[in-house]
Amino acid sequence: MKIETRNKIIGISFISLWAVGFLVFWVFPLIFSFFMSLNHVAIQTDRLVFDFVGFDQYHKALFRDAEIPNVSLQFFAQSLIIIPVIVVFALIIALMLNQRFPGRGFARAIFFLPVVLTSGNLINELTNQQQGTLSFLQTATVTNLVLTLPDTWALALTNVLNSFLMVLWYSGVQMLILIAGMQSINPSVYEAAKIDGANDWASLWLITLPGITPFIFISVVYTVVDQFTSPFNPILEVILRHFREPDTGYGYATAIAWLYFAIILAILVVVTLIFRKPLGLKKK
Amino acid sequence: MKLLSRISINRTSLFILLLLTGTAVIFMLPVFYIVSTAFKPLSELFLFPPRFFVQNPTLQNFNDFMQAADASIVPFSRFLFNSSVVTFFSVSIALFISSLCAYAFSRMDFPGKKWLFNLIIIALMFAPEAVVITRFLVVSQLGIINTYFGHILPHIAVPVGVFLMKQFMDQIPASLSEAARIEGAGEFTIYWRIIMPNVMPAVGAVMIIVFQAVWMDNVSSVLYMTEESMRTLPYFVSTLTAAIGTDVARQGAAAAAGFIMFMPNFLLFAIMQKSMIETMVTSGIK
Repeated sequence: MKIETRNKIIGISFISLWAVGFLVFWVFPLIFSFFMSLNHVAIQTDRLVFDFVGFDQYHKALFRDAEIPNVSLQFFAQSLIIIPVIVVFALIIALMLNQRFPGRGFARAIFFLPVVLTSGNLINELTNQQQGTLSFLQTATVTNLVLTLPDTWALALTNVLNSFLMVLWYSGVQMLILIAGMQSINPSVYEAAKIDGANDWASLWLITLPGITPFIFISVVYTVVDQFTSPFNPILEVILRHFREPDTGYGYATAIAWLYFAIILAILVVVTLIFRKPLGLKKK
Repeated sequence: MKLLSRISINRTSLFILLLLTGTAVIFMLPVFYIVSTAFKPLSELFLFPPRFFVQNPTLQNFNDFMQAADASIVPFSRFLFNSSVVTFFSVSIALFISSLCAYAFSRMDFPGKKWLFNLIIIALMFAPEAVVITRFLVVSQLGIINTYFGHILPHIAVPVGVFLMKQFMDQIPASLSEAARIEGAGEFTIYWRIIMPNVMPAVGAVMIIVFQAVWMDNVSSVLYMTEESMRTLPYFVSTLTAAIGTDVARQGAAAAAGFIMFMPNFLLFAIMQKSMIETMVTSGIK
């Protein structure tokens, strides 16, 4: 047996277990949900009845349902602000946590803590109790400043400010990714730069940031996905509501889900295009 | 060694320390809140506007919780047992097969590699709620309704796990595994002895993510289990919360339940965090 063939067999055996689970519990449900989105689905006592309608439900979601463009436009405007904020915040905290100071381990632990909090009923309960907003942000000056902006953006910005705390909480995994990235840079590079007369500011821009570009890319992708699949997402609420409504049902709900998914895909393609150049340069 | 590291306690690091302390306090708020709520007497739980810290701490909520647990038809210990079994197996299996798969994606060549990885990225982006119904159909077709498999299997193939670990493995220099290969190590040895110890931060992060997803998951209990005795702790907690409308005393029990559900998360996190940091600092990557 050729070594190449042998390696391929080993490779397949390494992924096979995971791939089977993935195909059964992710890929098949995805394909099936696409099929549902092309049908009007009615629930009978013991089975589902499919009535093929083609792309009609997509057309309805895009052009005839006033709620969907409104909700999504506002949400995308909000995400456009929130995603860079989360990544930059994670980057700044990661830079600080990468310094040496007493109690560093403890500080890192605290900043990663929100990851264990940002799921489940726990966080919903907190926001219901108004702990997720910062009352000082509602003072007159900020509101006035915001009011000068166009409506969609003003509303989006207010939401971002109100959920400031949430922004901080959503940056735990990204912080960990970035710290790991900073650790992966060889310390001798910094030594060499210092000998050549570079100050800390210069090494930050010329060594640290280029060195962790792949990790920044991972963080951005993670943030996009995390934001768009979080339980606070208003579009998911719309989808879930349509699941329960008998006259629209699973079919319409999955059609919205697929449209939504197409938009996330487009955003990630844009992110990849932005990062293609810096990532490509690094590989040389 | 690192940026600014030569500077001992001067203005810059003092500033950083202060800033970090301030942010850290904000970060800790929810934890304080959960703990303090669990010890609030009923009068303070219903206070409006809600008060952040408890004034007259009491253990009454835990008593209420125990009573609610005694009153439930299926013993509380059964829910706890189910949750422990399901979480333990889901997390260990998920970590093992996802890391193995990530290794293959990062270091090996096999037919359909690119295609499958793109599929992972796509699955990552798809809102999980949208496939709940179709996944239910799969589970019922497999005949694993009302079994532990129904709890465990849907959780073990996590796209985010493979994605994060693969990206970390890509950053480990090829020379490290090449050296081991020259010494005669097989692929599994390289994966287990060389690569895995170096991606512990990613393993830790994925472990916490999966643990959370499984430990807090109520979907499989509600959808895939029709027998009470096969359901898990989050289901029990949700029955407490659902009863609030009719039963005021249960509110206290629910607050205590929130605390009890949160503690394992917190402890796992406290343990993992330490080893994750140590590995990052001493890893062979540098």
